[in-house]
Amino acid sequence: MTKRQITVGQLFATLFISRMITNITYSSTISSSNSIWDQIISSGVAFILTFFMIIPVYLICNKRESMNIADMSYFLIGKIGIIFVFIYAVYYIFICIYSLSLFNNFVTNVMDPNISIILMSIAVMITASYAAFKGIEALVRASGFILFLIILAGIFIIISLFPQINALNYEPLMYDGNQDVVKGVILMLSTTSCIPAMAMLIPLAKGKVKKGIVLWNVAIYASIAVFIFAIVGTLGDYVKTQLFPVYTASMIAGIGFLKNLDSLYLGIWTTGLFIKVSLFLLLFSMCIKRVFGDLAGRISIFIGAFFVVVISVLANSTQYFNGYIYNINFLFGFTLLTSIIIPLILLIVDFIKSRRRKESEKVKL
Amino acid sequence: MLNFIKNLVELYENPHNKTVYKRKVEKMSDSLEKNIIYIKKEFDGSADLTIRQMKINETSMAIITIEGMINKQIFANSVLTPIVNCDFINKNSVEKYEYIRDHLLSTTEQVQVVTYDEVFSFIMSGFAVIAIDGCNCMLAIGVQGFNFRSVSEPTSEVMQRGSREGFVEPLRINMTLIRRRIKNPKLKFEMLKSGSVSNTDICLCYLTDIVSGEILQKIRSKLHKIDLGTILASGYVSPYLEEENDISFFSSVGMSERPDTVCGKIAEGRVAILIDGTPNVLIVPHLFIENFQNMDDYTTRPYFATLTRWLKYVAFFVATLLPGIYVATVTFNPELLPRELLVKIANSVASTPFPLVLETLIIHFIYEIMREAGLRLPKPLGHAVSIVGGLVIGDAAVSAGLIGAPTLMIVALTAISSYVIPNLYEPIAILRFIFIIIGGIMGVWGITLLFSIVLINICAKTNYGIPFSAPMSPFSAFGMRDVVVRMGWKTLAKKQNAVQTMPGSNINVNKE
Amino acid sequence: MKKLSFSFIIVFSILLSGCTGGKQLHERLIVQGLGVDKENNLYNVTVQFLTADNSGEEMGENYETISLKGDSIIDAISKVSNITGKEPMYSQNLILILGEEVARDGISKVIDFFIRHYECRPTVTVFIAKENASKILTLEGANGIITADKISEMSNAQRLNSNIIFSNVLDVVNCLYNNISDPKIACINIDNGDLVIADSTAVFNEDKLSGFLAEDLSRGVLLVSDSVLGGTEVIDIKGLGKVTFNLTDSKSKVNFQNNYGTPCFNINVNVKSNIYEINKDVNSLFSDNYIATMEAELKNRLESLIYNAIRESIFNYKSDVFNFGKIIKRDDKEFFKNIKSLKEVLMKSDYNINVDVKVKKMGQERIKLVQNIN
Repeated sequence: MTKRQITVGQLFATLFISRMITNITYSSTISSSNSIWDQIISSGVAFILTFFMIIPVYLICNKRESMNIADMSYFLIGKIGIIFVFIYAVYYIFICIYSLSLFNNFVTNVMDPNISIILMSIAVMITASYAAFKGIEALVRASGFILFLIILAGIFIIISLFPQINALNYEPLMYDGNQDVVKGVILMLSTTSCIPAMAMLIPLAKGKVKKGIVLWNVAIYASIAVFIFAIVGTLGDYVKTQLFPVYTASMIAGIGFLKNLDSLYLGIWTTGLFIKVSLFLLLFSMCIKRVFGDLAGRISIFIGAFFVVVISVLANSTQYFNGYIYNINFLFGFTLLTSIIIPLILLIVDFIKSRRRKESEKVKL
Repeated sequence: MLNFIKNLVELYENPHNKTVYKRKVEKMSDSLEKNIIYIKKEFDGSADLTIRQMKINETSMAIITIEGMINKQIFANSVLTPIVNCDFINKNSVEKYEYIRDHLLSTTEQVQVVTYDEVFSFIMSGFAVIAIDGCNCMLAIGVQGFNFRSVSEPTSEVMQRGSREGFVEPLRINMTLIRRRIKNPKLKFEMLKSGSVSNTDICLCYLTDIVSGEILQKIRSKLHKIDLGTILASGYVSPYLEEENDISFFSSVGMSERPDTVCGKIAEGRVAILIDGTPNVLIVPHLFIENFQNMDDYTTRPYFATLTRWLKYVAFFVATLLPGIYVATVTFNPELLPRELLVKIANSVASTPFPLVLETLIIHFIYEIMREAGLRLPKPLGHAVSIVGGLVIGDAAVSAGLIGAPTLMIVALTAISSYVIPNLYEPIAILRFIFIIIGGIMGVWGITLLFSIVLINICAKTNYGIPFSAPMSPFSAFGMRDVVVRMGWKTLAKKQNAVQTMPGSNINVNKE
Repeated sequence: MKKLSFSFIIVFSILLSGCTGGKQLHERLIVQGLGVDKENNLYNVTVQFLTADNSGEEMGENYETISLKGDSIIDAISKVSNITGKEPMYSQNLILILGEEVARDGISKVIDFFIRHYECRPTVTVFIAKENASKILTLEGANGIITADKISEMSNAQRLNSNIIFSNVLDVVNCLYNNISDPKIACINIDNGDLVIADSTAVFNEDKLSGFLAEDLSRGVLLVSDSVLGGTEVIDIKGLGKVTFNLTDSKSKVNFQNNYGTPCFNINVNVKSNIYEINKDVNSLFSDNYIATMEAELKNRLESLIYNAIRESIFNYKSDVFNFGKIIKRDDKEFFKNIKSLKEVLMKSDYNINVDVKVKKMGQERIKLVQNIN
């Protein structure tokens, strides 16, 4: 059982940040698509589909006061529920690995190939472990500050890009068919790791959850759409050559004497990455804590961090691992499993159990 | 007496608490000679113990004082003369004692003491104690006359428009400075003793109708856990008031030398802790944002106060982050610098023998040495220090090519910025060094990650159930009227919140 | 023990700076300009860089140039470290000058380095040098070497005159990768032996240099592309004298129509202009509708500029520098999908050019120009 420690505003601010750093790494390379411009339609479609994806998690978290998905698994299906808890634990660690390896990719390919990935990864994970160790309250409070900085930096970059937009860079939508739209939707939904995170965090939050979900969803997809609009308008076909087009766009952004805004982008990503990895490491430890107890939960933060470092460094070193980590279909399947399938199974079990309970009460009467 | 009994009760109720100090609860005898022998033995022939023995109508009497602690004129006029001139016919010892206690003396303060501990406490606080043969109690009379520093403006907290009074060393004077500003019977002073050797008086000061009982109880409990022998400054006590296992550069215990500042905090439901012998008053709970607030903010016009407030925020970031960012960008990410600046810095780096990170560390270290020297030096030598610092270390070192001019500029700017927020000088000084080292190892990434660690550290702190980072996070739009801007007093006065109502707080407002 | 190990970590962490790729700034070569020429199938790369002065005095900026040969750009530039002992840093590079031969051979062969390398920025201004890029970067002017930042400043200033089209790496790559429009790059030349000026615009057919547009034709391209920021037009108007128009603002709208199988471009340009100089005879007075006359003359001039620019680039050089291909794709994507040869379509198209001119301000002497004053 968990008690409500944070507000809904804090929760969704944290989730917004962790989604934002996925948005700023958006590229046609990751989605294996030709046109990033078509994915502005994907953002609209994904916006609607995300609402549907959240429903099972929202319902399961509202079933019983302060019970998260791990608690509900045990409550509804007994010790077999441990399987679900482990699936979530593995998912959270996977997201940490994905985020960190993407960051390492960026640093080594785009920023500074001479830097040591191992040192970088260790530094990020030490920071994240410290934050996860301090607990959810410290993390969400820090998110409040970081959200403010990220919004300011993001708005500044976007405003400085707008004068450089060339309308001719916007090609007709779905010119080559709808494959890019579909790929974009799959990419956006597969990287919506916040929904499985909500499964553990909604019971901790006090306030209007529905309002939070709506605002969060609107903010996420509005920001994706704005980013796509800005980078396509400024970069045009140059986007196709770039691994991280938002970073490239920030390089050319500038107002007056304020140029080279890529430093703002670096700041956004590094702080956002820190929040995301800390959050998912914390969620991982919450799963372990549920199964093995408080002490194991705290130790698992460091063990999880170690695994994240090892696997993300390996992922950047070998193509074999790289293929798995960045396989969108794999990520999509995993996200669907943790966002929809498992909560649906639990909802069905709960429904069956409550029906049986009502019937047995009727029989008694 | 009452405090002593209260402490005994607390000890009985909380047997697991460490004993605060070993108090001598030995009761005195009714033989004057035995009492005097005991007292002399305890003081072991100390030169400042003065015992004047006399007779009042064949009854022996002694006046026990500490040399230099009493006002001899008041004592002679108000105590000695009436006793000497009084006719104690047909009175036994006890009756004589009672007559002196109830009818004779013209002093305002007198306390009956029954234990040796109390005698020692009172005579060392400037009281004169009268002992009469045949009585097993003594009378402590308030005739304090020890010398103390006069009330003057505190040098560490200079304000443009606030009062010019500052706290002094004697506890009682400080209590009056507060009482004069809050003329409210709800203002309560609660006395404690701490320090097994020094028996230092500590006073909790709060408004009973605003303060939270929960916070108060926690403070009392923490003060009772102090296991020090001597308490000579407020800094001895402040670590005991912080949360347990709280490792942070930032203190969650505030400190001030100004009565007006302390009164403002008390009015917000905080508890002031006055310590005898030190002008620094501790204030708990203390929030991070309060480091940027001072009295001048509330006495100047709102628009200017807002400007100075933002200057402080910017100065904090400049003082903490600027050297680290400088080292990080020049060493690892020079592409972030504008071309013209890069050329200047490149020329400077090329002409100096040390790596930039080492150069920055060295110059900061030298600055700290100079600062410390400037603090300890006598005033006449202060000029010499500034000449040495400015000309020799600054100008000559640059001319000799030992350090670069941009580095020196950065250090100067950082130093000036750190004095804008004197409360945070210590954490800023340490964090600055750490940021320089991390910037030199890992560049801008390292700076960002370390900044995140510091942020988490601040956000994870709570003091007495209140988040240290409130009202910024957890966010309170209402609280921003005194954070982002300083609204006018008409707005601030509309709704005054106690500290325990900060967002994220898990305590209730409770009357004492 | 804890404190000891903590202190150990702090002290030794200072020494870790060597493990993390950090280099002192004076160990880096701050590249300011790059020139690429081709000689005997080898690339001749000229690097202009800043040297950090280690005399310790307040010095200005010291530039040096070095020329290196290699099979590719990076192959050539990597030899810089052998000579100077420093690693080049490209993030502060301001200009890229491609020699004429390199441009004729195809710029896509040399541009990849500037897209792929992590330090290269897309904001680098690209120039084509008539003959050799190395001559430009090693040119000694009256005040010393012609530096990359001076060339960059010159290009920024000339942008305001709107008579040469300046492009950066982003613009060039955009054109190369979309396979629809063609790049256009400013061409710089040495003037009087000691000055560098941009005097024409190089236009390309795909990635190969096909010709040069003079200043007036370049303005025609800029008018169509809605990129005119300023500049002057001097027209000798009968009855008025030599009138100098200051173009202050222009807005263009180009759309495509497929009129019964005949492709047609409607080019509408709105131009605002001020007049700050009229070289007239002191005694001559203007007619009442002199403003309309001036506007009509400017309109005719600008329309002819646009027409000549289209004729020269599309018909002569087969270069779509106007983004007409993109406009077709935007306005009629079905028609675009069926196009076999875009250049042929452009050559067959009609171009309806309409320039609307408004003279806004005339400076101080307006009243004296009017014939009848009551």
